[in-house]
Amino acid sequence: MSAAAKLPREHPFLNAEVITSFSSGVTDTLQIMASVKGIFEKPYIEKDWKAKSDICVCLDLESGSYVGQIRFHFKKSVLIQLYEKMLNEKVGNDSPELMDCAGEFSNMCYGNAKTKLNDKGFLLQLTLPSPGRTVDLADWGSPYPQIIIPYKMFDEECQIQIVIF
Amino acid sequence: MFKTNTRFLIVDDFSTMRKVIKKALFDLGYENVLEASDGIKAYELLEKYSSTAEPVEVVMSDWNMPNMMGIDLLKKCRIDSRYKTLPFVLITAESEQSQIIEAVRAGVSDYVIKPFSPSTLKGKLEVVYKKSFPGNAA
Repeated sequence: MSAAAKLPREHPFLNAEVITSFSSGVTDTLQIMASVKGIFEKPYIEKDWKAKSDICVCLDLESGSYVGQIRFHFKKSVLIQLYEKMLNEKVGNDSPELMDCAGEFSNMCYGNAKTKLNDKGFLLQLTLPSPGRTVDLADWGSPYPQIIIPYKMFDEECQIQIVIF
Repeated sequence: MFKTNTRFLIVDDFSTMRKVIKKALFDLGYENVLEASDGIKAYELLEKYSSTAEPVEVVMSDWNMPNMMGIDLLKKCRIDSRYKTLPFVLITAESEQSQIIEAVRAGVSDYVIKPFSPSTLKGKLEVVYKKSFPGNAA
């Protein structure tokens, strides 16, 4: 295993404001769209973090010459509950609606955080969310450790993963 | 407020959001709802129904979509005399000052920031109705 490169301190995506804004983006979206509370745990940094989620939504992070990606990770069991709370209708375990729900939920969280961050001068660009199965997620080979922001909804673990390049 | 038989067109690339908006409209009594997953398909529906007895009367569109974004659909509508005054609401997660200014300049009727509650949507529709039909406002 290769040694991880040291995280560049000046990188804007390592700013505490980024973690705070994405956390509050999730909290606000959950509360407003589903009347559900998101409970955040302490973020951590890990080089070879492996996702255990079923579905992951990727959004590119771009601010000037800095690039990265934010990934929202969900278990299907969480998405089923989220979908049912948002729409008040049942959904099957294998329904494509689960991936769609993950995409829209992440899009709202990202937009909420982006507005707060850009008001503070981060200049994050508009991006389209890409939902997919976590097992199909490409390894982009970042030399840096990843930032993991764990939280719980419906008493189940979810994660926000920030990857920088 | 808009009559309950008003024909709405919801435009969003995510079916979940289209369903959320559709459900909110249903709860307000609006059941005449069309859906499109991007600006191109939305414009096709506008064209398809424009010369019928039931044209689209309100567009509720996402901003950030593949193929044709909501802001581009709005601009396309505003240069067409048939849709110049069509009530057009942007429902979007993009809420920075520069984007709001761009939307206002393009002729948006109002702006709903995601995430939103059904009561926010209802309030915005009331505002849009008053702006669009000042003589009829209660």
